[in-house]
Amino acid sequence: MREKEIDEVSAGAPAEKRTLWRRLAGAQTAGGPSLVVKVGVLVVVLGIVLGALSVSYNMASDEVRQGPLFEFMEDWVVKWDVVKWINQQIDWLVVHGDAFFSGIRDGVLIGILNPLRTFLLWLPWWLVIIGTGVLAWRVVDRRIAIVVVLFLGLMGILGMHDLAMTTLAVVLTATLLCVALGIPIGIVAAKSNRFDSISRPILDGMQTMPSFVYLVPALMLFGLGMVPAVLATCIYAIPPMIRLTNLGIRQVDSQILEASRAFGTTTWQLLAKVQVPLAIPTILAGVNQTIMMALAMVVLASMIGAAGLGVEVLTGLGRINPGQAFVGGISIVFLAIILDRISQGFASRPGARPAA
Amino acid sequence: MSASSVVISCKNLWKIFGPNAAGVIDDAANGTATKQELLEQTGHVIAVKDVSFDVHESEIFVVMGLSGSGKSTLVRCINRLIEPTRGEIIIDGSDLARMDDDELRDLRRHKLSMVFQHFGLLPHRTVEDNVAFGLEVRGEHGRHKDEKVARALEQVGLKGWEKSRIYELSGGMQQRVGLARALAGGAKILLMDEPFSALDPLIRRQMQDEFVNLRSEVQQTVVFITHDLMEALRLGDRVAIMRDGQIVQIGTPHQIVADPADDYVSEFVRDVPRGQVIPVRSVAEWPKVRIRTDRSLEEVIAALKERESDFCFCVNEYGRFEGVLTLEQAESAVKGGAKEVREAVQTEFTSAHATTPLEQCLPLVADDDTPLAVVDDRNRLLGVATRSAIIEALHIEPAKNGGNGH
Repeated sequence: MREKEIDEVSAGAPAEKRTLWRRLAGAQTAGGPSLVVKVGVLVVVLGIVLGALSVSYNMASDEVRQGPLFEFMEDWVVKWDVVKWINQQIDWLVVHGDAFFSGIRDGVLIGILNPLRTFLLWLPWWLVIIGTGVLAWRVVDRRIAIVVVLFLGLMGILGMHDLAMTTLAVVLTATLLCVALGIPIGIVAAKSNRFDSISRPILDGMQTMPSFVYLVPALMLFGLGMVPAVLATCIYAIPPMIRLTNLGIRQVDSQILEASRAFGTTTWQLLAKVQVPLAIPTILAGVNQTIMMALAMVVLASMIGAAGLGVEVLTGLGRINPGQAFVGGISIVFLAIILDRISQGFASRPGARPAA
Repeated sequence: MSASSVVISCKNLWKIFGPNAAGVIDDAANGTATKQELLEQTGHVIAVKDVSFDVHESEIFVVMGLSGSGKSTLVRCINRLIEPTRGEIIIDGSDLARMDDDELRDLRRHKLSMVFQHFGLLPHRTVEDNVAFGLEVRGEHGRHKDEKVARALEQVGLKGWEKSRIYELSGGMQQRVGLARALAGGAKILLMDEPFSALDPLIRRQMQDEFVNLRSEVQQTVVFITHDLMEALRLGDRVAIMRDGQIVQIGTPHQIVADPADDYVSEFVRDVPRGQVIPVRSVAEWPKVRIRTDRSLEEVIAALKERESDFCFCVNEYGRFEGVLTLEQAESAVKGGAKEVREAVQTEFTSAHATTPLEQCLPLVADDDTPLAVVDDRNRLLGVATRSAIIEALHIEPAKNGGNGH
């Protein structure tokens, strides 16, 4: 019955779209050259045309090049200086938004980062090792717990423990902010198709843009220090959180949703009682991804003032001290593996996952 | 059976799937194209085509049809999980289409309940939390809610399973949870979308029997969807047969089998072993004379003479069947000094439960002409079935293009 319903709904596509597609697809089965051949011919023709254009440009004399046609286009390019415009906007923000951005910086610093960092540094190293080992044992399995203890122990021996704790504080703070912002945005994207289609290219852009680029506005608006590093990390790491929350909610079994609606839920009740609880495994996968991306930013974050393991790597690179850089780097890797396994463990617990 | 009020009234209901449903509807109504032809011409699917029917209070109204007949779409229009394209659905006097969101929500929370083919349970909740879902949604908490949940679970036979997780339960048990969830809220109208179709055959039969008994406690109005003709005939007070979005015939199980409206229905019912499937209540009628046991014998004699009947059926104040009394017996009792009916009534009398298949009732009426008393679980008299009616139901050949009953 269900399959039939789905068929019925998809069959109800607009008539025009369907006939066009059918014509295109039908071109293959009808007589005459196949679709592939037609497309191939088109590409070749296009190539020839472009080739001819570029050759003729090259062969053209200078006079032609400076003729009205090209001059018009160059004028146009020169007059619209996007770079300058962006700079102007950022300058304006820096001047006028000082109170706002300082407020954010201090809030994050005092409210989250510092307490977390202080706490982690205060814990005795052996407690951290044992505690994390036990956590790994409970949430994953014994083998991973041993690996975790081993890695943390190695880091301690290498003298990287305190730095690792600092990096951990930065990563956790960034993750916390990403979760706090990302889940609500993800929920909105799940409920509104329009918001989803607008946000999707934005998120794509955010994930493709080199993470280096985020350092610049962070630096300009918040200055040097831990908080700008955290915020730059946040921007880099939030897309998977939003995406996976969106996905998780959209993928909740439609039959369960239908049954719940039949009992008279409001939109809010449906979200809170059904959709979010059932999306938790996917949301936790999003948290895992966010943590990983935050760790990927560690070295870059150190460039604008984040203390921690990244500083070791940077210092090593700067002073041509490969040993130091390597030790810092491998510690980041250890931290990454530990955090990855533990957060994945949370996502796969039987309680968290709705059984089929 | 006695006439009762109409609880759900469906008039000229249409549902067309597609981007321009409203535009296509006039062509579909006036033209003679089939569902397939219209799909090709316009790209729209006509799921429900000009359907009208009434559901009476406390009846089990079964809608039966094959895949694609539109029956699931139809039942979802009743609680507006699917928005109808055109037509009226009136539930308890209110027009569904005119309701705003708040009224609709209210309707779904208090008056309607639904049971789904694939259960629709929340896997992250325990059994009792699932049953409590409808109550929770409408704001009930605490002891009242817990009592209702416990009572519903007991009704479906799942006492003791309150704290279990859904995935620990078998299919049949999961559907009982679904049923308990629907019953917990006390809704008067139950919508059931092929509730037993996903269960294996043995469990299905068991659930059908239990369902009939379950209903005797609280006489909800039920709209029951199925693709199984046997199930429809066993459970339904009235059955509607759907094909390609239209209702082909509505009638009691007996009428469907004895009087199929067209070749399609005839084909369907051809292989039905009538004797085993049709319950005796399908041929039962209200007795000519029915009298309460606390009446006087003189009243009875007068009534019997007036209505020209030789005997009457006696019930107590609660409608429970007590026995039979013939005119002769009444007169001789009066001569013997008895005053009230209850002193003379013959309590040894055969009765049959309403769901008993006709085949099993035959031996009970084989000996004499007195009709069989048809009773429910609590022995309340629902009607009487005469021998001739039973025999007729068993042996009649299906007539072509016979009538049907609404």
